[in-house]
Amino acid sequence: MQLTQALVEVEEKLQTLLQELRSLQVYCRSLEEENLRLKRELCSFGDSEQAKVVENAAKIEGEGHDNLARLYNEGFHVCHLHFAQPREGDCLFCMGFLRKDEL
Amino acid sequence: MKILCTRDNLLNGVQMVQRAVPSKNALPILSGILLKAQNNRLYFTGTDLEMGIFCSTPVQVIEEGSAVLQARIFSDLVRHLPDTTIEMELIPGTKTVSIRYNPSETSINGMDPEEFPVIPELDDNLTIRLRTQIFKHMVKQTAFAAALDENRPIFTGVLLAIENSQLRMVATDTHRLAYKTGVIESTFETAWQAIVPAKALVEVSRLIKEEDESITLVLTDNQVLFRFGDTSVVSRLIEGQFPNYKQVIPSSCKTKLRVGTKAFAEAVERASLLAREGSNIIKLKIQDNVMVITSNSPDLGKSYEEIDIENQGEETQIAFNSRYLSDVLKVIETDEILIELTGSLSPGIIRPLEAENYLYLILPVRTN
Repeated sequence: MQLTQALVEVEEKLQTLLQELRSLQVYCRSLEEENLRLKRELCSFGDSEQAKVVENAAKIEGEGHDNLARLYNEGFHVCHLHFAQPREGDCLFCMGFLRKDEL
Repeated sequence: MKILCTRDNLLNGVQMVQRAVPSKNALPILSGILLKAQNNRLYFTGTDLEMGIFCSTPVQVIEEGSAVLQARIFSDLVRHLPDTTIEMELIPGTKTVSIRYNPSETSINGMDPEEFPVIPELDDNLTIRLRTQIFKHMVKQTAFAAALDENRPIFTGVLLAIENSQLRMVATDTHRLAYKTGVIESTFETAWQAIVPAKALVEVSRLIKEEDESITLVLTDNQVLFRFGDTSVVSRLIEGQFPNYKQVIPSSCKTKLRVGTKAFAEAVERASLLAREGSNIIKLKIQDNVMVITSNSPDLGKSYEEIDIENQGEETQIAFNSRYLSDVLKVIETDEILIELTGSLSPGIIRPLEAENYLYLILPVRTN
């Protein structure tokens, strides 16, 4: 009797696992479809649009650097350790950070 | 506890561990030294919970046991003991230790050894070994560059890192940075790094005796143990991420000059006397083959120093805090140094001539 009971339990567990697997399969398929759609969308962008994006990114980066440099010159740390804390004298790490940005 | 020993036995142990005993502390037990007699040795322990020092000395143990005595009074007594056989005994049923040196005797009231903090034993699985001479040099040339400001704990420590089977020590207070590498004896493949309080490294360096040949470092996630001779020092590590020091070291320079260490150090010392108080600014003007060092204090006067150099690059001008310069000139041992500069705003680099294993980075002061 005990063995039969055990087998029944195993069967139940297997069934729930199977159900889970099926729901995951559905989810996986939907993700794949979306991925394909996004890829197609991405390819449809022309060179001019891509150039615009790159240019915008560079502009944002430049502005970011200028903002940080200004913040530093106004007397605040821009290194991640002491970001925005008032500084006394120059800080090696802020300067290293700003220099790396320039490269 | 009952032992027979000499004054030197006690003096050595007490002087060693006393360095860790805090001068003032809310916990009275920490003002004591733990004495433990076992296996014909007397073990001494002192700690301020940040750092612990242990050492041991051979004595004749008649009865094993332990006691805690006030560090101040015990060390003062030991210093004044006569040079004869000394008997120390914990009076049974009390915390008082009787110290007998025939025909006299002093009794000191102690504290309960059970209350003394247990310093955890560290596993030996991650250890590195290096020569004490190398270790001492490394500490001497880096630890001074660490910050004293406790508000920024990371910079009060020295980064110890192992890369390519070499030990690196890096210390910075964000205005200057010292970097030194040293050879380790044991092979150590894994990359590892930790931030050790500069104070602990200086203390270890001070405790190392001339006859101690090598020092072993035992590493764990939050503590490091230094073992040399009969002494061990355990220190907590400073938590946090040390900033990327490699990023701040410039890879090229426009001015590269060679100068005699002694002449430069003396000129800097003299110029610093007349540097404006507080900022300690001295100016360096690098020309073809001379360097002019000037300082000016409106109240005191001004200084003009000229020394010969060998310049292989552009002429330039730069201003430094003289303290940062004289600090490094005190620890460089070669006769000549190399100075690398790029304009008056970029950090300058000072290295000993023909020694690749040391580098000192110093930020200039803006003068206008």
